[in-house]
Amino acid sequence: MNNRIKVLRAERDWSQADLADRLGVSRQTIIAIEKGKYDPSLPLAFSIARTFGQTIEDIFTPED
Amino acid sequence: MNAAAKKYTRDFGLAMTVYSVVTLFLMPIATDESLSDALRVTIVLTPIVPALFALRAVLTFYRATDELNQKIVGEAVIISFLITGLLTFAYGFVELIGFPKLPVIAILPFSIAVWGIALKFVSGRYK
Repeated sequence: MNNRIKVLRAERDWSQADLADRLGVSRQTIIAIEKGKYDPSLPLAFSIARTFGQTIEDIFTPED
Repeated sequence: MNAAAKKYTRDFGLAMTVYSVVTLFLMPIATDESLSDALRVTIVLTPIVPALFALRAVLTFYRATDELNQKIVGEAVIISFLITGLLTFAYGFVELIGFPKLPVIAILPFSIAVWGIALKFVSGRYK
């Protein structure tokens, strides 16, 4: 899946560590998600969406 | 290091320290053949107690870690299980044709070593 997490993070001036702390996951997980190497579970995806104040569909899009 | 990792380091380190001390001091006693078999068996099995605490530390840490790390650890455990199982199973056959007997006590350290190597490869896929 593609995602806009890096962009959304930059808009808020959050580091990967900041976002990891807010979501209760490791920085490694944030890196893997941003690079598209790992697709988060549904609960984590909802948590990401809630953290950014957006819907899951606004953040994640299927790969073409 | 996060709180879960600190707790794991402390708990696992303490358990392994006790395990090492118990093993170091009790095993020589167990070789005394004047002791009853029941007592010798009890002595040689005593290190299992701190080992169980080490196991609890590992499980507690696993449950506290996030979903990606659980996935990585889980996959590495499966790889370690398969490699250790296959190699020891295969070695069982060569023992039949005269190869030296494999000490059972070596299997767990070997599987842990394979797990450590597998962790590197599996986690590398997500970097």
